[in-house]
Amino acid sequence: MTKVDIASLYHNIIIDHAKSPDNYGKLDTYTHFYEGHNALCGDKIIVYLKVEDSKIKEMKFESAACAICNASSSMLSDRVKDISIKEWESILSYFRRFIASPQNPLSFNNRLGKSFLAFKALEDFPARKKCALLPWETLEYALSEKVN
Amino acid sequence: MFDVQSIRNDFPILSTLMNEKPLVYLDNASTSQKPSVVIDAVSSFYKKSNSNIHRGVFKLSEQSTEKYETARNTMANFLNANKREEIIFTKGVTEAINLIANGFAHSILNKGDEILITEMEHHANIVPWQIACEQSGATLKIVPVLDDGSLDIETFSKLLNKRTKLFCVVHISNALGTINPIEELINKAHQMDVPVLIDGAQSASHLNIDLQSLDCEFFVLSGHKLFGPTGVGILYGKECWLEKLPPYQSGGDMIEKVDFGGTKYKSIPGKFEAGTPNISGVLGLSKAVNYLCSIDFQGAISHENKLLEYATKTLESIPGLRIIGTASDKASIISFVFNGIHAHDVGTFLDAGGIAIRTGHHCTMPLLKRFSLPATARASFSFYNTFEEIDILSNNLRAMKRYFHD
Ligand SMILES: Cc1ncc(COP(=O)(O)O)c(C=O)c1O
Repeated sequence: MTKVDIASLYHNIIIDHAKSPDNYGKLDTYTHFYEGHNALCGDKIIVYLKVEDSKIKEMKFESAACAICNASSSMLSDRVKDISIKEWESILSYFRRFIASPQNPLSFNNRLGKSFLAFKALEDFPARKKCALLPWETLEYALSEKVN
Repeated sequence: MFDVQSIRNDFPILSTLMNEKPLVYLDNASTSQKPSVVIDAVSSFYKKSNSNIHRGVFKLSEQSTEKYETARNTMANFLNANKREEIIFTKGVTEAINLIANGFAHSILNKGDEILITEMEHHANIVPWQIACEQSGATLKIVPVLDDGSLDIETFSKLLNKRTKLFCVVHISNALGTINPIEELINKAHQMDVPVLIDGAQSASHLNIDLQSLDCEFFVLSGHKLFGPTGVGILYGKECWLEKLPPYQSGGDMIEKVDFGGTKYKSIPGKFEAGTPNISGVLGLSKAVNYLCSIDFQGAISHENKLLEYATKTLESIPGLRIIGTASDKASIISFVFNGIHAHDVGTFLDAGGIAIRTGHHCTMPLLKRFSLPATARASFSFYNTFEEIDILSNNLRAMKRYFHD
């Protein structure tokens, strides 16, 4: 087993987002929400969305989760502000492709946003990939479950 | 005399590197490492003895059968069971409990009956009972856990009643390390004529088990936590109970005679061992138990107790670290959390330092909910661990706190 670089995983961007996440909390009014779980480790995240005219206006989240999951949630919440559902679907597939092989330069689409490159080190920490994916998958579920 | 350095030489994996650091293996509650004698027994079976049991008339098969049945004697002696037939080989604790729960659902439980378990059970001792209750109309009752991680014995006594058909309790909590006072619990249950199932997944590697003196109706263990291979375990049941329960799986090897007019099952233990079993696993487990008998096991237990004491003191001195589970009687398992650093991040940070611990809910979600925690980090020690390894753990945890500016 070769040496892994812990500092590359806990990149400054990730630590900063995890320590003071953007858009943390509950939206006063929301059209969608979903509670996502990582059955393996017990991480939990609730995603709240305000969707209008096929656009995600705003996302907020609450969580009991690790730094990787919290940073991913925070960065996701910034990224999806005021984007169309169509664009969301594209970036979701970009993120999935990127996380599947984070070190492969061809797997990263710039339209995802450069800051997500902070997750490149997940290549060496495959057990943590699902932490980064959890908020994205939870958002996907949230969109399919409308608040009545 | 117990000498940890010479014991470590018996376990080849302990001298390997992880992330370029010597492996510090502190996940023994998940699975223990295997001594060379066990690894050799498994490979030697396939190299020299491989053949099916209870079938062939040729010598190789007869020898396999004899080894397999001798392993049953070994396990019966190790646990001091009354009869060798009371030892059933399963694939582990999970299968053993499913076997019992399935039998209860079909042959014992009726609407209005109760199964009593505790809040600190592993999911393997919860979900099969939820299903058995669903199938039979029985009700699941739960003994609560106190703040220090011990059982609420007073409530336990109140919950026992005429409707209770079985009490199921973990001997040593895999999540907190609590050693439950099972002698007292068994006694109390028996006073109400309630049979008892002990989940010995964690205890067989830390304590001497004497089934005749415990007098419980069922005791289950997993070989892989007892220095043996994965995929093999023991269900012990008192003869009268094993006779009472219906077969769990059926097919080859568990029958006396198959006829379309009616099939006759073997008597125990055969009735519960359908199909070709994990022969090499059984032989490996029996070797593991022989190994434990060959070392100074009393010395090993006392070494583990010193490790627990030292680790508790060392970890407690780290600011911001809180130990979950502080019962007076504990085995060498320590669950802990940090304010502001999630257990998952603790686990990854330690892994980079070559230290293997478990993080998460440890398959005890109701217990973690009881403590309002999503996850803990857990270091669990075996007799081959050292005081130096505890220092390495503590140094890495302090470095982690600096790293996360906590
Ligand atoms: C207390 C307890 N019960 C049951 C089990 C399940 O054992 P197995 O997965 O070997 O069937 C475990 C293992 O984690 C355990 O610690």
